[in-house]
Amino acid sequence: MKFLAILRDSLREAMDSSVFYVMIGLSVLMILFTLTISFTPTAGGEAVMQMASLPVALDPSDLNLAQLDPDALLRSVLKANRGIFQPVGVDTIGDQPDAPTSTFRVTLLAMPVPNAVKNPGDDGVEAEIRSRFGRLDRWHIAEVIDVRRAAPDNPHVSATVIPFAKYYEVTARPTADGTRLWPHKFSVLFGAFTFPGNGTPLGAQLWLIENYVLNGVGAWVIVLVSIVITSFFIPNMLRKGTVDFLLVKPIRRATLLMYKFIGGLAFIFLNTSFAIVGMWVALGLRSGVWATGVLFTILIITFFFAILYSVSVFFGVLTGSPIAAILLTCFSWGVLSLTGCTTEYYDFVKESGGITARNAAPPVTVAVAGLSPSPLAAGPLMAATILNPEVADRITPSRSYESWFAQSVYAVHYVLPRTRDLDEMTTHFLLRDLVVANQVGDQHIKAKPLDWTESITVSGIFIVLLLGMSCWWFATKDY
Amino acid sequence: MSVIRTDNLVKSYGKVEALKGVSISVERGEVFGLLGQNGAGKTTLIKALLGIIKPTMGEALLLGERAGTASVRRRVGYLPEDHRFPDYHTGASLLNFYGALLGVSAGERSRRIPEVLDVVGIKGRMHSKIRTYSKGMKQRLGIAQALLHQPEVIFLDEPTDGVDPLGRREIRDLMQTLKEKGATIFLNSHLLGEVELICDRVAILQRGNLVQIGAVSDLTQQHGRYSLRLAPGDALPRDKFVQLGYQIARKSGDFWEIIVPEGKTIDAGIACLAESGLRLRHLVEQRQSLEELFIETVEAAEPGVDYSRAHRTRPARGDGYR
Repeated sequence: MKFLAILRDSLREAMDSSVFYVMIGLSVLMILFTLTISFTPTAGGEAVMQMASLPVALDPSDLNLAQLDPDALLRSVLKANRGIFQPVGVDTIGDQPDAPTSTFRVTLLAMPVPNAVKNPGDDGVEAEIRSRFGRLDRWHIAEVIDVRRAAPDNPHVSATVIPFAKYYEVTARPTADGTRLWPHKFSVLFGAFTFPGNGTPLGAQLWLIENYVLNGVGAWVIVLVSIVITSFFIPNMLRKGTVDFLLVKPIRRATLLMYKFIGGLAFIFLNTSFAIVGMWVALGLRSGVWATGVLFTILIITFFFAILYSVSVFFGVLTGSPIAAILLTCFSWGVLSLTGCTTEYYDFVKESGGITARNAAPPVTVAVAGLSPSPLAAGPLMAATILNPEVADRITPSRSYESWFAQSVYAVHYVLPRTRDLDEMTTHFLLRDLVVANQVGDQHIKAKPLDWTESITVSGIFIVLLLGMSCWWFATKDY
Repeated sequence: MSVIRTDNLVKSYGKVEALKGVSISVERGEVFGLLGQNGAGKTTLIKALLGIIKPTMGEALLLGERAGTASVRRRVGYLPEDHRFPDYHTGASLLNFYGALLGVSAGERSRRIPEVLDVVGIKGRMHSKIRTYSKGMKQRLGIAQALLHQPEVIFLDEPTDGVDPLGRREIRDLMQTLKEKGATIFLNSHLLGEVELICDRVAILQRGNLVQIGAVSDLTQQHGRYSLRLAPGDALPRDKFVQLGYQIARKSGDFWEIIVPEGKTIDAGIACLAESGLRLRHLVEQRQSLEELFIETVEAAEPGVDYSRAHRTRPARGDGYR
């Protein structure tokens, strides 16, 4: 009863603030704006069915699907050792349009490789194709309706004359997962403004919106505004003339403070839930994709806020000033982010053997690697050094991660909450749902192996310590 | 057994001693007044009794238990001085919140809240935001929250502060009603006239020391000092009175102030008047007002300080000293 009373009191206090209504108003505007977004499928059957064909011959998780190149494909096919299955034609059945709802016939050119486990023409190959076609990573992007040897009148067969080649026809239909890979044109305000281009996979568009708009800017605004609102909770409670009313009630001071803390968390949980569930529903209605990964971000943002709110409570109890609590909490947020970024940078330097985009010569890097010039693209840079001795000569490996400064940053990072890790965790959840492994670049899914248990435990201990000190101070101080 | 008892209570803030070994006891059903100048330690004493601050030394017992325990706090009501309510509440929602913290059931709260707000006279505004209340209404709300759970002991720190004269009388009547119902009231007020009217006993604190404690009637009584008036045309037999050992202090209008020395009574004087054929119209044993007692006590505690002048420099808080 007491807990609920304090919870209601906290919510009442938060809702009394005009900032709260500004935040709700912004959320409503964002939701309404999202409802005006249109995703219109463009011609993408060939690309999606080609992607669905990949698992027949290779393991797609080995590939960077965002930047496919023939050499990488060939290496992967040889590694899988199942023979070569290459789509040579994708057609819709009958007069159906090139759309995610249509059925397609995919003609596969199949060629044997030496010592393969199972080669084209062997018994059971049709069944193998049926079981592997469209199984991309965790996703099932196409539903196979039929697999058979290609008829002689298939135009793609007659057009290709290769010795030892065999042809198969796969009749398949894109699934809901397949729709996420399907290129769509993006427009806002019910088509009034359409973004140029031939379309981007729907899942990738949703990922961009959810990761950068919702989990990026949106979460940042929610957390910042919540810090401002909730930083008043404790100092207001401790005001002379107000605190007396509470201290004479039969409730322990530490319990009172903890309930107040939970009240603040409940506030942001409800706010975040409103914004994220609203956006999720709006995006679901407009895109037809109901990926639930984004809903986990509610818990992650709440936990992230719990870290900052414990700081706010600590300074609130210590100083009794909401302004001091807001400023010191924002400062702490900056320190945590900076520590996370710096640690990430040194980790990257260490993992890439001390070679970074900064100490490699940029023009050569881009020209030789031919891939992303992003400083995170350590893999291609290293490949470039191997392939091109000229580049290797111009690179001086850095051992900055061994400096006293780096070691100090590591030490601080070791004991402080891992807010950057939480950010990574959110990205991870969104990627799992919306983007096939490697579709937007390998580094997002695999390059940062994080120990979630350690991250959450360290952050949890930090929260407990700060709250413990706050409770001790509050319980022993005379008011 | 005393409802409130402190034994040699000391509270220090660094080098400053706010309470210097205060020992008091208050019995059940008593209305006890605590007097003292600003900074005398009155609020410190109340806070120590309620467990809001921890005493440096000594013991404070409330309802037979150590002061400040949760079980004791459940049985105590408190109106702090200079209180500030969270103004995002309405009067009713605030009482609902405090009632829940006190462990009052939801059903009981919904019954008691309108009742107690009606008692203090703000039921009609119970659903208005507190920020729209006047100072007097806030004070009444403060009293309402102190009474909500029907406590056995009620601590009221300046309960009539900001309340208009009519409201003061209502609050006084309310305290009288509570007293009749058996509640013990610990009152801290600068309005000495009111304290005198309501309280059974008072204590005076001066710079953390307890300098006076006792029943109001005992403390204000002036033994042997009488006010006397004779019928028009009759003259006081001054010589006979002097022979009786009486001292004639002064004459104010038709009233004579007679001081009867210790060991003698006024009865001899009354007989003397009768024998002289004089007609007695008025004879009252004089009492000191609580205000006079307070000033006298404070001056005695710190001779040489002109409190009437000091009072003029503190108009906001010194009204009660006049």
